[in-house]
Amino acid sequence: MNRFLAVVRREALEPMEGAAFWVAGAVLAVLAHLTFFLVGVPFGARPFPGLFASGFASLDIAFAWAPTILAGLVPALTMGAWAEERRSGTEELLLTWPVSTLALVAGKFCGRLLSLVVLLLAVYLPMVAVVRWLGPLDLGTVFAASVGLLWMSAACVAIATLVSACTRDQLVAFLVSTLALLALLGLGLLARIAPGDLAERLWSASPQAHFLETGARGLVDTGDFVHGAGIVALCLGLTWVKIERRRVG
Amino acid sequence: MSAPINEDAVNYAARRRWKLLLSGLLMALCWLQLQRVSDRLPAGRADLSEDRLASFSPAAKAILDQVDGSVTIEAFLTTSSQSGSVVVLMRRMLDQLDELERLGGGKVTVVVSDPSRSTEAQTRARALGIRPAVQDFTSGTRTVTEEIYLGVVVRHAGRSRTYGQLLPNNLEYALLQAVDDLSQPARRVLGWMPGADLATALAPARAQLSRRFDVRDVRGLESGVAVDADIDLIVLAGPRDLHPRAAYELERWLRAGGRMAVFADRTRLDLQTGLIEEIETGFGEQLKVFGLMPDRRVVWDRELPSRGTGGAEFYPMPLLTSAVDGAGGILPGHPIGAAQPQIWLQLVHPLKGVPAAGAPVPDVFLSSSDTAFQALPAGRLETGQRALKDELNTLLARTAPERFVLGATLVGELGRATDPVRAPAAAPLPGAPEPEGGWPPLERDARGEVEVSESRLVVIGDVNWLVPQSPGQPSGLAALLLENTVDWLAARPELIQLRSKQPTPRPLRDFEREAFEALDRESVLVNLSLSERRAIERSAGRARWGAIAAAFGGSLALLVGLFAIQRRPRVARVELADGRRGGQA
Repeated sequence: MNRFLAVVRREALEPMEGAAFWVAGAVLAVLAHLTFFLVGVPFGARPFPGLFASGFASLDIAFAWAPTILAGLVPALTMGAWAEERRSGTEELLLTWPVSTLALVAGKFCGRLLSLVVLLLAVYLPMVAVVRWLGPLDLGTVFAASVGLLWMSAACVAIATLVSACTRDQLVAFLVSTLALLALLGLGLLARIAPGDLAERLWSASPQAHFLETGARGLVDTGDFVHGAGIVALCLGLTWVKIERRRVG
Repeated sequence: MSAPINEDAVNYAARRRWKLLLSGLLMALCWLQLQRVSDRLPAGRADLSEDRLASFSPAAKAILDQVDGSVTIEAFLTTSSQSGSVVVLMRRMLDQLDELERLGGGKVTVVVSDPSRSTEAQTRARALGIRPAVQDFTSGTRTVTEEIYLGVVVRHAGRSRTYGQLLPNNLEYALLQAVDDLSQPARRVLGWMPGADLATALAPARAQLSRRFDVRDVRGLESGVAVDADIDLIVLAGPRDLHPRAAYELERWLRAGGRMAVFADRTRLDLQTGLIEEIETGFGEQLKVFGLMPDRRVVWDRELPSRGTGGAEFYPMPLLTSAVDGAGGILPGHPIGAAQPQIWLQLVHPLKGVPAAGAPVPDVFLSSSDTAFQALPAGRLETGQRALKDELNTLLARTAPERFVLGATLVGELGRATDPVRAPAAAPLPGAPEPEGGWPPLERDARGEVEVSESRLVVIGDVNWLVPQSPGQPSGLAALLLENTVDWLAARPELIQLRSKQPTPRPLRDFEREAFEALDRESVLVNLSLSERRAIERSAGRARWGAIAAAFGGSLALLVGLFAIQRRPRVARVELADGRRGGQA
């Protein structure tokens, strides 16, 4: 357990050593505030303007943008998880540690997720405080959305970690992860034009069904947990397969 | 010479690779299966939002708990469609029906059939009057037309109610209202009394009520006939010169535990000519006892929007009064204000009077803003800007603005109001034989039938809100206020609670208003100078940018703080290491 925690600590702090984390944080802060206060959501089934134009004390705009923002942010934080180790040759050293592959994979995942959560809190907490000051914000919905966002973030980190484990180039890891996460987002859009049965399956797998339709509306749903946990288990399992193959081979 | 190959090691590695690949595939299959199973299993779900909009409310549970016997809900839904949007919509409908079935705890059975797939179901749906909605949508490069069924039938105690089309946003209220109505021993009877000249104009409102009530005209009161004993509530809409005997019978019925809504007007406006006619309701004296008599004057509310499209300015005028939720307007805490953001009133009259001893205190649910005046309606309504400005300036100079009561409710033992009950006018009345010994006071009814029990009364100083501006149903806002009123009169708080499942208004701070108040001016906006108006806009703009800067600056400060914390140990370590090296040197 101590070794697992050591891996978590190392992986949580490691992104902060590089400039990418802070650049990503600053970009996230600018984008999040720009979209929330000024741009709003100008597309989709329910377009709405920025916070002051809508005149409504709510974080709906931030929740609506959250999946898209995660699609760009998560790859930036996780692209180096395995790819950088492999490129710099430290992966071989890492795999000689007296730590099981599962603990390594899970530790890296938890560490990166932790660093993501810290970043999200730093960006969104002041926003919540300001909206609360501006009007009667529904904190129950904010809490439920935060739980939903946590499941979705975990799923995104797991996907990006898997992609990072499959390449030795950080840039490739970033691009492929971003595309993969955008594709996941696209499932919800595809569901609206796909034929019936396929539409249902696409919708079931989409973040829209498991975040925007539930958590963002104030619901904490076991279905969302199962969806997030399923993606995490699958991706971490495949990452484990990948790393274990390298360890064995 | 090459090294010998360890075949065991090669075979082991190959086997291991296959095992790993297979486990990967297995995991993928497991995940897909898990998704399907999780979709089908009843989800554990908690609605943490304050408004509880995404789940059934406690009121729904309360209604279902009161039901004796089983309720069957037969849904005719197109479960298979080529349109993704329809599939998603149906999924939400089915989720809600599942949740309702669970909420019923065995009392509710949901049967879903798809008329698009089964001819038998289609025949049944059509026999029940459920017709599909025809929808065109694009599937790939083709335009497809589909028939979409969204009908529901609720059955209970041998009776049923059919909804031709329900959507997820009105499913809860519609189904629970049907369950509530069907669980009553008999259909409620609503007595309908429109003003003599309003029967046609109010026909759509009557039609709306007849969906839920057995609506019956109340007749013959002026001849001394008492109100029918089986009438549950009466709507007196726009009474005009009500016969004193009829007023007496109505008051008698009300005091004995009746439930009545009175939408009383003192003026009629001819929109074509602008002519205003003053009228008498014939029921004013009765309302005066309870402190709710409509005054002759009309309310001139300055809080009307003073800007039109394109920034054009308008002077507020008495023709329309917007009772908006917020300061004044509809009180959101009152049951009749449930889910009612606004109502438009025409030439509304303030309700005045002091309640007689023993009468319950009126509960105001509709009022003007604090900056309203009252004005005597002229013979003709002048809507020109100059005339309005002159009139407004006269009012500003002559009277102080105040808040007026426009609608109120009374609940309690109205029969205990000790004000001497007025006998109808002694003048000879056609068809109204005066009883021997004159008109008996209610408290000492000759028949001794007056029993004092809880009565309910709703009074609004206007009836025009109920008249559709164009042929058809009353406007959505008017229909809602009418539904809220009759639900309150029928004492069905659960239904009001269900309907009040609307987002709570969560307005942001009004920086314009704050800037206006900072000017310490009592004047209305129309009297502000251009420079004052610009100053208000600048001040509000600065406040908004300040809020944005606070949020953004807070985020940056936290990031910088994190950066400093993350760097600090390393710097300390480096300094320590340098110190050691220095010491060794």
